[in-house]
Parts: sequence; structure tokens; C-alpha cells
Amino acid sequence: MAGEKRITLEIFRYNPEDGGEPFFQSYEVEYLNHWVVLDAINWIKDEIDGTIAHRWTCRMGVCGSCGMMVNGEPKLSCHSLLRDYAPGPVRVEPLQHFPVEKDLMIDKSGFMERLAEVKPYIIRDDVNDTGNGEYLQTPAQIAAYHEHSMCINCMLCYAGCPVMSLEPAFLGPAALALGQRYNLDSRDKGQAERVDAMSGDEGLWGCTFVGECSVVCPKHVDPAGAIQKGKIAAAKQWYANFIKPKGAKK
Amino acid sequence: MNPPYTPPPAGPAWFLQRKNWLLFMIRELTSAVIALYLVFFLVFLARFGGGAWVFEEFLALLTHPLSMAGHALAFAAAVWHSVSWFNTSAQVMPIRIGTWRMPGVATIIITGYAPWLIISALVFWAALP
Amino acid sequence: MAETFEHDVVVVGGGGAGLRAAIAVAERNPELSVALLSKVYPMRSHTVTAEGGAAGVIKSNDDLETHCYDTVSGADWLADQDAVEILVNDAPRQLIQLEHWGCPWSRERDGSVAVRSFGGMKNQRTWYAADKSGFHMLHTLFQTTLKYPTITRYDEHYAAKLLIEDGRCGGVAALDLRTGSMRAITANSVILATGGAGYVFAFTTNGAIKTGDGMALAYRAGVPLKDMEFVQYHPTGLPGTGILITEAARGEGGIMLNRHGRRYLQDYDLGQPLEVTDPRHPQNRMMELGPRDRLSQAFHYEREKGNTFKMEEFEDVDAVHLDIRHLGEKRIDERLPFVRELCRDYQGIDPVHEPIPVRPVVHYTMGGIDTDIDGRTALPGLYAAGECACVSVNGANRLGSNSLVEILVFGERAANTATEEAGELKRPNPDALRTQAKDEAKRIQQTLLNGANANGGVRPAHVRNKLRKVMEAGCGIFRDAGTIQTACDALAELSEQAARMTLDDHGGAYNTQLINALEITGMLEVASAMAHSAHARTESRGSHQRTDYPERDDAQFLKHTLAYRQEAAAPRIDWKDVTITRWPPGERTYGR
Repeated sequence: MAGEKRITLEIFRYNPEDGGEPFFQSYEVEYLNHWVVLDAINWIKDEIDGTIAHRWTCRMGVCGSCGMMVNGEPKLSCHSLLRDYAPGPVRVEPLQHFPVEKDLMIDKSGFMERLAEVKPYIIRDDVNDTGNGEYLQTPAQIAAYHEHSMCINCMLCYAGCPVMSLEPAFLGPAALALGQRYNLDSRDKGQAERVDAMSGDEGLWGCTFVGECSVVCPKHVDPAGAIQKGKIAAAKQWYANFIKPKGAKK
Repeated sequence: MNPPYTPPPAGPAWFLQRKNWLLFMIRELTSAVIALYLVFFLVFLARFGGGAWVFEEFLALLTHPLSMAGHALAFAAAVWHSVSWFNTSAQVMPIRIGTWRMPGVATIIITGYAPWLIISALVFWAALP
Repeated sequence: MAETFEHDVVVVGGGGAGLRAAIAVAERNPELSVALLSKVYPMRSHTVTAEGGAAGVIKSNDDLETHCYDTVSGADWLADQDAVEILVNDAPRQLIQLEHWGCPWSRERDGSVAVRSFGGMKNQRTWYAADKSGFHMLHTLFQTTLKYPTITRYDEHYAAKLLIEDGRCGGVAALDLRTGSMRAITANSVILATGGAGYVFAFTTNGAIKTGDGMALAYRAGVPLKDMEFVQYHPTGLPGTGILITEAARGEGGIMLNRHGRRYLQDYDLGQPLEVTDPRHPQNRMMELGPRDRLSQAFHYEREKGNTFKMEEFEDVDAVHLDIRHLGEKRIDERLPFVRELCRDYQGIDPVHEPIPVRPVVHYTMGGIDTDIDGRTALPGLYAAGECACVSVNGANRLGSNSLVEILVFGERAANTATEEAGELKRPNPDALRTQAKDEAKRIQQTLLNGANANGGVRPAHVRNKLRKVMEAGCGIFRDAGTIQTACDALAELSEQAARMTLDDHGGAYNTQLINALEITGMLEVASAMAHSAHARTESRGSHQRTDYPERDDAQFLKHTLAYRQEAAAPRIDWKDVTITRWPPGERTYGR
């Protein structure tokens, strides 16, 4: 590849099959002006070292596959221009706070389980009854949850959240924001069913509001905001239950 | 096949890893300073009932350079704590009218700085002879 | 040793069609266990990148008849009209269902669903969620699958081979990427929903996973691939990356300009332009809202006339402008925020202030696995839906926003058939299926993993890159016998090279290079079906434009091509009549 400039990538390597410890391997890359970090990794894999394992698919910032630590920051590698890191070197590591399966590939199974825990779907009895047309939802009602529905599941927020390393059972920003997205959706009636998963110490109250999740989020989902709103709602509910006599409410 | 590699757990100095984690930690620690000040204030109130000579003694203590420094620190901590919380209000309590969302700066001013200034002014007005 | 996992229905592919199918099985018969298998995590599937929206008649000024006619004429009469009627009739229900499941469709002030204009559609009927419609549809579907305990996901499993016993499909042999072990995932019904094959072309909107795996699986099992010569070029991709700029940009009023600032589409029988300030702009089925094939072809002519401009930073490729500045920042942020984000991040321009440079880019494969209107293929027990299938509703040219609804309608429909028939057929002998999976593991070990080609071998990426260039050069927007033959010859040569692919990685754990190599062998099969089908169709229709046969020829070619794989030989091309119900072939006109 006829490039214009050179830069060195230091890539985190770990192979579960060779019994060795992780290490960093350096590769020199000639790159074009519009190349992103992912382009460089793909070029290395294609031309120099096919043993590197990393995830990617859309290379347009929407599939959420290619999150990694670039010079210590959680980034979508398809979204990080190489020239911004000149003259280098660029250190590329798997996302922080996850077990590493191989090289830049992290274990996502825990994340997938967390997503399921918050019941991220519309809960109401007539959900499969399409005969009466759409549920009405005004633009203002959409605005109440819309930003929280923009999550691409890239998990950068988990890498940015220190609670994830201090309390590994924490549901984490993306999952809580997703639960909150459905709680705030005017079509949903399932808030009560999400309370158990979301309101425990490993849920909303595990969040200490560092706020870094919203800073590193590439899609402006604002998980920190979602979680704080969730805390307020949960606290209000608690007071309401406290004040109301027992058995008065359903 | 080996299990996945698990990075070493975060040590006690975990908050030094990232700038925003450190800022968070400072915000949290400022509350300790404020708590200390409140203890001091409670002691002051308790002693106040002891009569005029106790009050004189306490005044002397208050004007001691160490005490002055402590109060300055507590004031700085309180300001920092307030400011860092005000700045989150746009996230916690976004103000919406229809689909329009108030810009973050405006939300922060309306929910934080403006009431702060007003209340401070009232306190000054009430406290001044 | 191949571990065996038994289910009733296996769905291969976790995009829109696959997820819709899995939900349909779970809803229809909660007794059945469903395996949902994908080579990526489902929310990475390419449905996620779809932007503009999904078509379904919902407003009182629209009607089903018009949607049918738009689709049939858009397809240059090569669509099967019974299938089109099913698509159009079922579309509104499917879109409402998705709404009930949580899809945040954009709304009118009164809370009803909003629709927008789209290319080749006479009325406004495209439902949209700003310009991230596919993203919201995919995540809504994925999150909804989490409701059903009968759905078992096999994330990051690569389907290497269909398991066939007693003349019927009984599951798939799948590589578990995490460990590299081969698993036999058996079932009475297998639904392929693996998406298209745009990645066999060098310049494409498609992500790296769009390698036509399901098409290759079926093709190798003797199932014909239908209409593979029809590959859609979307007229507006970003010049360097091929990133899609949605047709919704034109649906909202964006205009196409050549380097002289002329709205050149008026020169290609697409009608006369209205001023952008005219309240009637944009007009449906005219100018910028013509169909994709005609717009991409117009670009080609403009380039020949010297009316395009060169993009220096992207190896001097040609481009024209898509101008949306007159929409204003507010409307762009409301309706096209992703377009703005993509232009800023990947092209370094802000479309609020500058026109967007664009060029045609491979976007969609109209062809695919031949199925009937209920999703059945020629192989009992095997069903297909979505872009990997060809029902066919898209014929020679798909209309924008029909595919996002096709995945729902036919995803559910194939699943319903598969559910009904899962109980009817005798379950194949599991031992025989396991043995087949084991043999497949052995074959992969011997051909790719043992390092036999270490000397004198070819890097997989080199085969892939060459293949993609060959297809671009030989089977582009315009083809002729010469370019197609060149491509066919080059593909035969590349197939020989592919037999000598050398891997750096001989391990099991996340051997993504091995997966790439397996994908490449499939891409070669699919590309060969495309090229030979294109060779056989000596007429021009829709997206298949032969410069040596520039006219449509209904007398001979109102037929689907069927490509059958042949061992060590070029595919055999057969023909199948198009189903015509209510819309006899006519002249395809836009703008008049």
C-alpha cells in the first residue's frame, strides 16, 4: 500500500492457546491521510500478521464491534483517525474491565447477560395486537427517551466506568441506560418488572456518578444521565410506597 | 486452552488512571472536608452554651492561623463540591419543553448558580447589620 | 469430535430477517426450540447500517395498488407479482408490529407514524426513525428476542456447511469462533437469513461480513441462485469509504449536481427539475426521486461526458455533488442527523454548509437463493429469507425502503412455513449429521489449518482483494460480453489460487483469518454465479445493463436466471418464468 506517512502501532497480544503471557507487538504502517486506526490493524492483518484477532464489521461507527483502548482511551477504532495520533506510536489494547479472549477480543458474554437482565422490550398485554394501528407517541414523548435508545452496544462506557473494576457485578452504564430507555417510553407498562434488576446495589445504586460513561460514549446516549434519572424515579417510588398505607397500591 | 486473560484488579490508587476519575475522587473527598467542618461547627454550638468566657476563648481559636486555613479549605471544598454538582444538573434534571431541550449551560445556571447566588445574597443581607 | 446440539428450528443469521424469523417461530409454537446462529453478535448485523426507512402503506392518500405498481415497475417487471402483493399487503402490519415492540419511528405532531418520500415511490410511504431506521429496527428486534426463553443464541458461530441426510436439510455444521471447535447444530428446519454479498465488490456500502455465506451454503447444496446478475449500485456513497448517504437525503429534498452545478438528472429522461424553493419539490418518481439503477447509470454517462469531478485525496475517483444545504440546519439535524455525522467524521465536511461529494456504490444483491413465496428452497427442510434469498420482490432493481420491510414479511413467512413443516418431516439420524460435521472439521483442518500451503501459498486477503477488483471491473454498472468473460476467467484463476491459501494462524481460538478464508471460498462461488448469470442474460434490464445488448427483451428474457453449481466447471444457467398477475410488462417511465 502506497502510503504517505509512517506510524508505529503497538498492539496488545494474548493467545490463550500458547500458554504465554500478554505482550505488546510493534508494527510499522504506511498510512493514507484518511486512514483510521482500524484501517491500520486490517492492513497489518492482511499483509503482515494474520494471527491478530479483532472485531469489526461496518467501519462507519454504527455496528459497535470495534471498540478498543487507543492510547489508553476507549474508542471506536473505525472512528479514530491515525493522523490524530502522529507521530505515534499508537498503543492499541482490548477494552478495559473485560476478560481478554485473544488479542483485541474481549469476552462479551457478561455484557450480553446484563442486557437481558433489564428486560429491554416493551411490556404490555396487547403488544402483539396490530389490528388497531400504531400506539400513538408524540415527538415530545419520543424525546423523553430517544437519546438513551441510540446505544450501539460498543461497551466503551464499561471501559470508562471505574465501578466496573471495583464492583464487577455492577450492571453497568449501557444496560441500565437501556432499561431506563424502556421505562421512559410512553408505550411501556413494564417499569415494575424491571425494578428488581435495576434498583439493587448492583443496579442504579451501584453508580457513584463518575460520569465518564457519558464522556466516552460515541453516540451521546448519556448513560450517566439515564441512571441519575432512574435513581430519582426509584427514590420517588420509595417515598410514595412509604407514605401510602400498606395494601393501598395494587 | 488457557482461560481468558484477566487484567490485574484495580489497586487503591485506581482513581489516578484517568483525569475524570481523579476529578470524581476530589469531588467525593471535598465532602469529607465539609463533614469535618460540620463537626467543628457542632462543637462550637455545644460550647456556646457554656457562657461568654467560652465564647471569647473560641473566638481566639477561630482567629488562629491554622483555623483560618482550615476555614479557607472548607470554603474551597464547599465551593468545589457545589460547582461540581451544579455542573451535573443538566444530565440529572434536563429541562424539556416539548421536543426542545434546554441547553446544558442554561439548565446549570437556572437549577444551580442562579438559586445559589440568590440564596447567598439573602444570607448576606440577613447576616449584615 | 463434533459436539451436537439439537433444536427444532435453526436460524442462520442474526440480522433483521433472522431475528424476525426466530421471534416468529417462538411466537407461533412455544414448544419448539430455536437456535439463532450468527457469525457476529446479532446487533452487529448489517441491517444496523440501513438508514432511510421501510415502506408500508399507512396514510389515507396512499394505496396498496400503487405500492405494488411502483415495486413491479421499479423491478423492471422482473419481480414475481404474487410475491410483491404479499410484501405490500403485509408491510403495514409488520411495521406496526415493530412499532409495538418499541421501534422509535419518527412521528407526526399527533403521535401517528410519519412517512417520507423515497426513490421510485409514487406516494409517501416510507416509515423512518430519523436516518437510523435499520439501527433501530435491528436493536428493537434483537431486544425483543430476549423475551423468548425458547430462543438459544449461538453468537459468533460460523456456519460452514449444511448438514443434509436422506435428501433433506437437518442442520448446520458451525465453527464456534471462540474455541475453533466444530459443532453439529441439528434441527428439522433450517432458515438461512445471512444477508447479501455486496462485499464481493471492491467499492461497497456493505460491511465486511456481507460475504454471501448463506448463498454459498445453499448453492453448494445444489440449490439454485436466482437473478444473481442484478446487483444494485446506490447512487450516493461517500467517495473514499463507500459509506452510504441515504436516499432519504433526496427524499427530504436534496439535489444532485454535476461539476457545472447542473441538475443533470433532467438530461436522462427523469423529468424536469423544480426549484428547491417550490413547495412541490421534491416530486415523487421524478428527478432525484427516480430509481437507483437509473440514477447510477446517469452518473456513468456524466463521467463519460466529463461532467464529474475528481477527488484528489481518494486516488482521483470521480464524484458529483449531493446538495442538501437548502434544507437548513434544523431540518438536517431532525431528519438526517446521521448523514451529518458521517459527512463530518468520514469526509471532513459539514453538509449544512457544503455539498456532499458522492459516487455510485455497490449496495444490494437483488438475486439470491431461489425460494417460493413461502420461503421454501428446492432442498426440503431448507428455507431462506431476506437479502440472501430471492423470492423475488426486487426483480431487476430494488426500490429503496422495500428491503427493510422484505426482511420482516418474508422473515416471518419463512419461519411460519418452517414451523409448520418442522413437525412433518422425519428427523434425520443425528449420528449421520454428526459425522458430516466431523468430516467438515477434518476437511478444514487438512486444507487450511495444517500449513500444507506454507510454501508458495497465497495470502487470503490477496485473493479477496483481487476478487473484489475483478467484480468491480467486469460486472459494474455497465457490462458487456468482453468484460464479463474477463471476470469469469479471472474468477476461475482465483479459485485455483484459493485452493492454495496459506494461513498465518493455525490455532483454534478466534482464528478470524480462517473464517476470512472460508468466507473467500464462498465469495468466489457467489461471484461466479453473478458473472455467469450476467453473461447469459443478453439484454438490458434494471441494474443489469449490457452495452452490447442495450434493450430490454421481454420475448426472451422475462425470466429469472437460475445458476446451478457444477463441480469443477462453470455454473449451469437455467431459466424460470416470472409470475405476472395484474401488471403486464409495460414501459418503465419516470418523470413523465
